[in-house]
Amino acid sequence: MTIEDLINKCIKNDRKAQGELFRRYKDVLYLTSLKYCRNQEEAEDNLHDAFMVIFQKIGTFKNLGSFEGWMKRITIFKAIDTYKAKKTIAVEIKDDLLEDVTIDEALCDLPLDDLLRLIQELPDQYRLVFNLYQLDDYSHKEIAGMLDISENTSKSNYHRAKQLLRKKILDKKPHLNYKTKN
Amino acid sequence: MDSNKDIGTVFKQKLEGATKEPNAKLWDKIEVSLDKRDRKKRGFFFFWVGSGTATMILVLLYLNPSIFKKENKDQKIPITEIASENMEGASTSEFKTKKNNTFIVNDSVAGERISEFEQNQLNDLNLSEENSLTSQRSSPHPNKVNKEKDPFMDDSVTIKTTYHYYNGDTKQMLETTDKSVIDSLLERTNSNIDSLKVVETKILNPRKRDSLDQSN
Repeated sequence: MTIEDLINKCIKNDRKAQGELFRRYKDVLYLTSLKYCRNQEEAEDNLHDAFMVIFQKIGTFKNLGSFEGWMKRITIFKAIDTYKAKKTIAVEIKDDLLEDVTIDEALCDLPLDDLLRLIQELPDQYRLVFNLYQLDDYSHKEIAGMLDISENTSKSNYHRAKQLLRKKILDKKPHLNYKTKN
Repeated sequence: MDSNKDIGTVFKQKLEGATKEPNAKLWDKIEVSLDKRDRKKRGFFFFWVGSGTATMILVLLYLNPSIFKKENKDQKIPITEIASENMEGASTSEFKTKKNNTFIVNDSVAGERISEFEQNQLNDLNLSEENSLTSQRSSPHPNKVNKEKDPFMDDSVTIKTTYHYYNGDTKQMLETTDKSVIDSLLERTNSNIDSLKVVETKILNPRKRDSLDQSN
């Protein structure tokens, strides 16, 4: 069954087609949820809510871009909604403190679950900004609009997130050195 | 050799194209949620249809309240039960008892009910012939309505009862009830209105006739 047929059947509320759509995209969207949420439980809840919105709004998909990208955006926005509901005050860092944060690539040779855990352990706003900017290619301007923060806050949160990630990796492997560049 | 890279770039490379399988029961949860939402949608739909219909009826009633009144008038079919009997052969001293009953019945099963009532009344008259005659003659108000509740009648039935004395010699009707009611009943009889006619014949037994003759 082509994706167009699947979408058309989902628009008609065909439960089998909805099940098939879920099976095709659950793994990709679950990884997206895992990146944006604090843990597996939250990620599963987010995926559940995202699919509910996808099935509800599937009739509005205009075929202008990739269907997977459309579903991914819904999953991300759902996670942002959850974050906004329990938003905490973020600390802003001055621009002059920003610096490149580098690490030996070999140190990051970790299993997928460990990498995801490192991201999940970041403070909520840092995690969202890091994911949006670094992994999903949103600009700081877009992120500022999505999270109701300033662009500078987005930039500083991104920088702080990278520092925290590096620190966590080095804490796991303290015998290895790392460098920072100005 | 410097193998240091921006940590963000390293993470992006590692996570690019990766997938992870969620809990196998997640689809069951989603399916339950979808069913719930569908039921809610249906409930919402029926709620609005019902509300709309009720509102329309109220608006119609408000704009033209006579719609339902007219229907009620049409349903109110007065059925007159007129007592008439063959008086031929009645002697001067013989008194016949007639009982007029007028019904106003609001439902379609009136005919059946009246048939049952008619049978019941005839039975009652046969059984209480003597008592009934005595009470009529001695009572200062012979046309007093019997208010005992009839088991065959419900609250939608109204009964008006009128008693008459008939003199066979003069062939004159002695009226003891409201004359206008009697006149209207007679008019209806003469104009052959298609109404239910019930004949309640009451012939006194010979022993009673003798006693009445003596009293006259």
